[in-house]
Amino acid sequence: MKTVVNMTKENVASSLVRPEGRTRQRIFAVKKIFLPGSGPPAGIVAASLLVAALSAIPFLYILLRASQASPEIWIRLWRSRIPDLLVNTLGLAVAVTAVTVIMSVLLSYLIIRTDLPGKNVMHWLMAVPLAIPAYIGAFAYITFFGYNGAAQHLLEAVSGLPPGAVKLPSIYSFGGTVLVLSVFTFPYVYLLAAAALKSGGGDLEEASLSCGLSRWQTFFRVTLPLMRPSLAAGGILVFLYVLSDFGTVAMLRFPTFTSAIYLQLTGRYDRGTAAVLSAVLLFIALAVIFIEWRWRSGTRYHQGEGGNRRPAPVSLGAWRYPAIFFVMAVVLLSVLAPLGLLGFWSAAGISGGSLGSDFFLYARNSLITAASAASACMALALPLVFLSVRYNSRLGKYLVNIIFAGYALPGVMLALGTVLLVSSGFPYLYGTAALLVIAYIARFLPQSLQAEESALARVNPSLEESARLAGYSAWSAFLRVTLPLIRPGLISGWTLVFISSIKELPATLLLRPAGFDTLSVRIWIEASEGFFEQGAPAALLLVMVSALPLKFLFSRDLSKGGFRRGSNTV
Amino acid sequence: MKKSLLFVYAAILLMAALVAGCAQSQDPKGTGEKKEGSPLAVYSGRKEPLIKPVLDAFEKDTGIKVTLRSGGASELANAIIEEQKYPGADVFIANDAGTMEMLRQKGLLQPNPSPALKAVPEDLRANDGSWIGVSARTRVIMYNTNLVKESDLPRSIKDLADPRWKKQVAISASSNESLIGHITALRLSMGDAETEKLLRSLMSNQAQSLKGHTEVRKAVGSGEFKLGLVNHYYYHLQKQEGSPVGVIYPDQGEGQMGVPVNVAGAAIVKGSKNSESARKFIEYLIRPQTQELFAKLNYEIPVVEGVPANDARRLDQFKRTPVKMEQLGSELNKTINLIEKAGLP
Repeated sequence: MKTVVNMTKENVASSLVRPEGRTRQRIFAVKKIFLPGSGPPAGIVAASLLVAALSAIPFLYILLRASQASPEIWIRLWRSRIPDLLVNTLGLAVAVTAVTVIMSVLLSYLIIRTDLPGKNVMHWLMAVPLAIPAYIGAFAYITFFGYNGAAQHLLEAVSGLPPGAVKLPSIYSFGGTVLVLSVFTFPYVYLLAAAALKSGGGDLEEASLSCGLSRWQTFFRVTLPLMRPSLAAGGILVFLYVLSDFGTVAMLRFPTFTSAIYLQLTGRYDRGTAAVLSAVLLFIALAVIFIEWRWRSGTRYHQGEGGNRRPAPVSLGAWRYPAIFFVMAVVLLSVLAPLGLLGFWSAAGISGGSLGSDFFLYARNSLITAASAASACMALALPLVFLSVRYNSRLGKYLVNIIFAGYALPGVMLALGTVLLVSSGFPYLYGTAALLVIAYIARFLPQSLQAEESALARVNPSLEESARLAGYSAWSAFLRVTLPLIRPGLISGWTLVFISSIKELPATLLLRPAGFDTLSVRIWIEASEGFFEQGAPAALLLVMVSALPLKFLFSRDLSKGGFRRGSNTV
Repeated sequence: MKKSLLFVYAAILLMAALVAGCAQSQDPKGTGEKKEGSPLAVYSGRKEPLIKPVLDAFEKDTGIKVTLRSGGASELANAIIEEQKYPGADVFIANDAGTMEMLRQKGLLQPNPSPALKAVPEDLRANDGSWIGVSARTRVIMYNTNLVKESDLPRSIKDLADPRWKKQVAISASSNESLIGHITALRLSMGDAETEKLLRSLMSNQAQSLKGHTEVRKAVGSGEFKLGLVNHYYYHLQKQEGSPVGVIYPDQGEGQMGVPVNVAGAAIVKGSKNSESARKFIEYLIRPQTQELFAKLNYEIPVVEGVPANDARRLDQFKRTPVKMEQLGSELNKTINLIEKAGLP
């Protein structure tokens, strides 16, 4: 999800300025187009425009609808709902970003730079929460901390107090929401921070120490500033994620923009208010992206010569045990507790018969829509990727940027946009699962784009040129030479879209046809009605599905000696 | 070789076909596959477990196949509005007279002159028969008997704003059509200003909005909240589960407004190609046997004479707010505007 946004900024920056040292740019030294004397084929341009339109139209439609809404609606919203929503949403986003950044700084320093025992295992464990969608994490936490949950029963059993006497702090609060969101989104920041620490700065730290600064001073004046770009990039990902999150905040009863939009979509007849709320949220997201881009492009980071030597690990001494405790606490909160709870409830559920034929039906529905979306994205991204990479066309890059910008779109807004679009143009699509697939494509196309883009960028155009020279048509050259070479990119793009689609909640809730429940929808329904045993097997299945490719991507990048921002497409 | 590409596109086509195939069999639980003799398409704002037994019985007795699309009443009403040119529904079942009346006033329902509809009292159906109530419900306050003494109970809906109930009241989200209907009744009884004041004080009293009435009744049953504002049958359902709950019908005294009555009903959508089957279905819903089913399964109040009402109080056993069903529909927009003005979640 994450470094996708980085790609947005990279694309924008690279098309206007020519920064050095980016992998893509090296290949683009070959600026000429390999078909002599012609621009990109009309077919590819047309296909690209169509795909970009598919992605962009839902949210352009929202903006249109918002602009058409009568001023009365705007005024009423500013007076009634928006102030509280702004405070809640921004407050939550800022708090979660702050918590995750601080956590990640501590964790990455401890794990990468010190002599913490078991660091390699810890590093891997830090990435595991990525496989747990935040709303599933919320579900797990509710089963434990919610009213009448396990925590309450445990405390009563242990202390012997009567039921109702013990009042645990409520998970349904700002604090509870910050906790749950932080614990499942911190890996976005952690992984980038860890990569930064791994990739260098050791010599600078050594220089600082030899100049007489203490370890603490070195940390604050050398290490931390060097981590700043990664922290900023990760922080933005977390911030945008919190803005767009629906499932978690809805389950934890914390009202933000997304829940207000959902209310409008499920209980009102005029779409104008929903469009206005969506427009405000979109504006906030774009403002944040813009601010971060300006701030980052104004700074320059240069790696000096001979700078990749890793420094000797810092010895923790007396800090060892607090450090271990801290890291284990994070692992407990983000991995062991949720998985344990899900496992427990799944066992209870399976023995109680939750895995009936209905369960497999929901799994089938999830599978079919996710696989369709993934396959469609894989195909649809190709013309765009070719336009942007091979033909190096300006138009291609703009189209790609437009699509990436739409990625900041929360699921509820996407559902609204799709509904508006369909009701004005394609009403016969109502009540079909095609609506879901379209929404997933519109939302997750950027993931295919990114994966295929980096794959294609690594293929030297001269390979295709040789095929052309040997007499093959452009089409044949593509099929016989390019396609096999970019296959890993195609597969990883397919996998990412598949996982994202299968986990998706708000758009699925709003757009699904009757009787067509998916796993994510069932988890939502069971959680809200308190049927934990019935929701847990579905939740566990989703986590497992998300985890497998994660491990694959993770270990692949590990073996290449660290994380590269452009290529880590988790 | 074009084989690899063909494979990719074949995979995509296969997926598309599967998806389309799924779209056809919209109700996997089997109340219908589309056959030549076009089945009856029902959009139900009622929960599936409640309406399925009726649909199954209908299919068995008449042989007419039924396809079911269930969802929220507003969601389905929106769908009917948006599908005007290509109506997808034959029958619309809703938990709220206001929703059905609103559709009627938009010209999206078909009049039904069938004389059988006279079995339903005039005040519980539309004049032209385009929608009829099939079961009645009213709004009550349910409470947890372990946490609230009867002497402390709120006697009026306005008491919910009392600071002693701070953070102790659960209501449903303002997307719920029953709550919207209730607020319409309040507006017509107390006026807009008083109603807005009540809504605002509910919010400042931190009444918790939960996703739906099922969540409310469970939360009151478990003791998470002391009071819940629900349709009457939710109290009975929770009691049936063995929870320590009680109920009070507020505002029953002299000069007080009483409790508003609403109906769950059925309507025939304009443009339906199955009017015959639709009318048969509607008449099926007001047969005494079906009425008994609603009462037995869900503790709703039957609308037809002579059917026992399980445990629930019948319409003549409590003081009723004098609000017409049509008004629930004609006032719908104004009520929504008021709710938006107050900012109810």
